[in-house]
Amino acid sequence: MKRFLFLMLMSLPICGFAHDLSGDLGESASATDYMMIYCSADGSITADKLYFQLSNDSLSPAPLVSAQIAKNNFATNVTDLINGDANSSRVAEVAGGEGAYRVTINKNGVGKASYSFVYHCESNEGEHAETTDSTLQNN
Amino acid sequence: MKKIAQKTLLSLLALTAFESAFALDSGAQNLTTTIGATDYFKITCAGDTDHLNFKLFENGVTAAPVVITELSPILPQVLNVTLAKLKLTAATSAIAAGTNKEVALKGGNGAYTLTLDTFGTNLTLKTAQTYSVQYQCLNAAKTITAGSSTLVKLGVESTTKSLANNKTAKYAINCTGKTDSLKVKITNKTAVVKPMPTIIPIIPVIPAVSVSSGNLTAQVIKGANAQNTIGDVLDIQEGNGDYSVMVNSPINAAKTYSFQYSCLNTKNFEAKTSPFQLLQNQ
Repeated sequence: MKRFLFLMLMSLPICGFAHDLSGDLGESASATDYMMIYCSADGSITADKLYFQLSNDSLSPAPLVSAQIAKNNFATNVTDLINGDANSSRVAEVAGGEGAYRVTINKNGVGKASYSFVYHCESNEGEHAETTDSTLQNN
Repeated sequence: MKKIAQKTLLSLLALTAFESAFALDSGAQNLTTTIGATDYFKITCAGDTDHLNFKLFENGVTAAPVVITELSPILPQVLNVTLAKLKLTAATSAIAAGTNKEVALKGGNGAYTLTLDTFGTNLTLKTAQTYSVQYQCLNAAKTITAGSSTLVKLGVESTTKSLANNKTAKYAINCTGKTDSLKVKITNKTAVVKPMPTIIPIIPVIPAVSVSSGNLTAQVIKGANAQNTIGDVLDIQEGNGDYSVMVNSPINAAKTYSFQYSCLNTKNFEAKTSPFQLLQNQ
């Protein structure tokens, strides 16, 4: 059901490698894609937070797509409120330091949806830190 | 501000012989309009948990509390004892299950009759009562003299006997020597029946608009398994351990909600569900 594309973009204002992933969610309202994003230091650059921004790329009428980013005992939600337009969700910056950030992506109803998101680990100064990921579930 | 009322409720009372499940209820929770607001909980399952059963209710009200009341203690099964010798009698009554009493009769040497009956016992309990007898023939100084019975030897506790409701048992005890009195100890060995709670379930009242507006979602996660719900029941089959629950609103709306959860085994019986822990309240 899902396609993952891994692209490296050179588009961040300070220093940056942004990471971009895209995927699809199946028909069921319970469909959830699930991945871990790992942040670690890159030389002298510490990984202080995770930057995350979501886009709902569905062209036809589709449910809203949301993502939740959690680390330690903190969690936040981002939603792209208009499907298929040029605007993405708000940017979430989760200041969880180094380690694994849990990312779940899902919908608010029945129906297929497509999405993409940009993410990277960075220091408090906005410098790009080591960023890796692994997919745990693809619905 | 949020009220967190940990109330034990019965969500779905399947009063069949094979399936029954208790659920815990979160009580009313409030999600604010804080940007990205997410309430974050941890639910711990133990015992022989196979899966976590989870249901989200939007707009608060889930189920009326289940009233669990205990019946008054069940009336016990009792035995009554009478010692008789000629025209002399001594009695003790209402020896309840799990207790013992003594009865003595100052009748000198000779044959005594020991009678047991169940008058006053709880006739709703059909099980025959069990008991034992121990006797001593005593002189005036309360020293053991001599005696005999077909029941048991002097001073020795008898084997366990049984007596059904409305029945009577009689034994002869013969005291000799310089006996002044006969003392008998009766122990009612019947198992004590514990009071059973009576459970009065109240069918959950679920608002018609509750679960499918799409303006409130919850995610339940454990291990590599994550599921989303807008109100449908989730069964997350990940065994014992900590399950994470996040609740949020795609449109960032203020929402009142609650959820019910239960750790169930493979037969959908309650395993062991700990009350949730609140990790984040937004």
